[in-house]
Amino acid sequence: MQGPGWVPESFAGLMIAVSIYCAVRLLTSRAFRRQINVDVNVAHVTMGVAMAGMLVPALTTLPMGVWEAVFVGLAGWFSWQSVRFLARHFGQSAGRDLHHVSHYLTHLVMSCAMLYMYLAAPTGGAASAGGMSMGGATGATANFVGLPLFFLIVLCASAVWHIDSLSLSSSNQLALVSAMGANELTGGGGRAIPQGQTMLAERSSLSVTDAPEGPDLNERPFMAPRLELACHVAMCITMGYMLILML
Amino acid sequence: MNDASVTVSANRSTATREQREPRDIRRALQLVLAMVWLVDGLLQFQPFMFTRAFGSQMLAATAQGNPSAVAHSITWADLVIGHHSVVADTVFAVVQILIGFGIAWRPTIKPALALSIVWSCGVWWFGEGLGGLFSGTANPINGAPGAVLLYAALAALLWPADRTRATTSFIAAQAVGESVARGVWIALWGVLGCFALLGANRSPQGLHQIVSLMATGQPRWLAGLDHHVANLLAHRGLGFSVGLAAILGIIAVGVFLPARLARVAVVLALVLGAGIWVLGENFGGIFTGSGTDPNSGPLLMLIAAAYWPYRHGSRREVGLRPEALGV
Repeated sequence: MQGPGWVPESFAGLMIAVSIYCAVRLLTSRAFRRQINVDVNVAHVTMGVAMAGMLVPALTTLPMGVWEAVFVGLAGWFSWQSVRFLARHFGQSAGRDLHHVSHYLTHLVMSCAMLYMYLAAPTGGAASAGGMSMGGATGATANFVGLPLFFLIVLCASAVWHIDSLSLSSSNQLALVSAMGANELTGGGGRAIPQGQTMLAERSSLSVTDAPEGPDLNERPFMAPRLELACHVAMCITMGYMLILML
Repeated sequence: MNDASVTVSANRSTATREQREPRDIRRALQLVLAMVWLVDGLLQFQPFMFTRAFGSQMLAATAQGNPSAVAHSITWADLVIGHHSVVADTVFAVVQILIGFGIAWRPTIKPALALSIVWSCGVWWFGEGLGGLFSGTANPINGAPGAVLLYAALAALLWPADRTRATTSFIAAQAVGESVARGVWIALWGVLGCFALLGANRSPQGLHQIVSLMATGQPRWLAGLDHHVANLLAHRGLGFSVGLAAILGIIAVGVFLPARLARVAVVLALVLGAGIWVLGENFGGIFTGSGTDPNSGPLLMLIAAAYWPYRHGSRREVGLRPEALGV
């Protein structure tokens, strides 16, 4: 059974837009002297391109085997980062650790979800070119629904968490204006805004995990953190949609 | 860094730490509610929902057994939905996702919760046939009194405002007051207990039929579980119904008991909610490709969590902190 074609096409268009934006971030962050989380943006680019191809076979770019290898690599990277972070920060302030490690774990789950979709989704006629058709698990995967349900719950939780982070960011900025006054904000606040963004980053996936801390962080503010959060929410929603089609 | 920046940074750090306070339980429950709405919206994008059968067969079937005026309105609305299935389903999906986003986004939480109440009442009427209350098919095992009604109840109980500055015993009382919140609790669980004993629900094969019918279209392992449970319930419907009603009754009065016993009742409600969700509702049928929501199990658990009696220290922090208002 297939739904109207414009639904997957719309999601595919959204993913292409996210991929292009994240690619631009990767290419221009150094020129603008802004910080970004390279691993997150690389993950968003690859997942966006891959999902666009899964949703609309005409947009397929690489063979399935290559994509599977890519997502095994990403899953391995985020697993390693999670373990390394926990090992390095074990016993320190739980709040910060929770946010930072959740950043890695969320992207680990996203990588695993992508891998699952490639392994479980029925391949269509374009299989040789890497194409696949969404629209329901079949055969051996039809009874293996616990994993996509888990992925779906994590993705929706992550989306909701990040939307909440976005609104926290807005209220922080308002609080900043009321506390400092407009003059101070525009005058000496050239570094205050980035710190606000850093706070946002603490809660969100934009963690300062591997970024240099202290003065260097102030000199190189994050690049459009809200847009990156919005990209993450878009990825979660689109991936959730695809997983629901496979339940 | 100049002094102003240091001060503001410190203030904001404090504010952020408070906003992230783990005991901000109501906000956490609001976010869980937002997540459920988000899942609902995504489920609405399943291919089946865009077909005419969604409105004219699946939804229209809920009209059966209702009073004629109610049944006519349901049939009319669901036929309209069936005839315009793509547009209607798109609207349903987008509205539910927007409600989820709105609850998660602090500045819009009140409009989103208000919209969720209106939306829930509409869906309860036209999509769930008033939860089977008038058709005699309502059973706590299969989603009575209508899962969507629980969304409305949760929106009211988790409303981001403190009705009173007095200390409250549990989260659900913050917005509506302790007496109203307790009334909602006893009404909900008491009504479920009554449903367990009504009509066909207490017949020897009543529960057996409900559970065995659930197995259709489920994954093999879940269908197997359904068959085992159905066999267990066969010819023992009355005993299980009475036992279920007794448990629901204990839960209903639990909120009036001292905190320690109230916690036991809440745990019982959580366990029962989980059991109903898995064994009675099969996760809301979302594995069949035609499940529109996770059904009542998770919502019963969410309501139970909102009634968890907290200790005095955390009560003060959760109940009176402005940040806990979620605005």
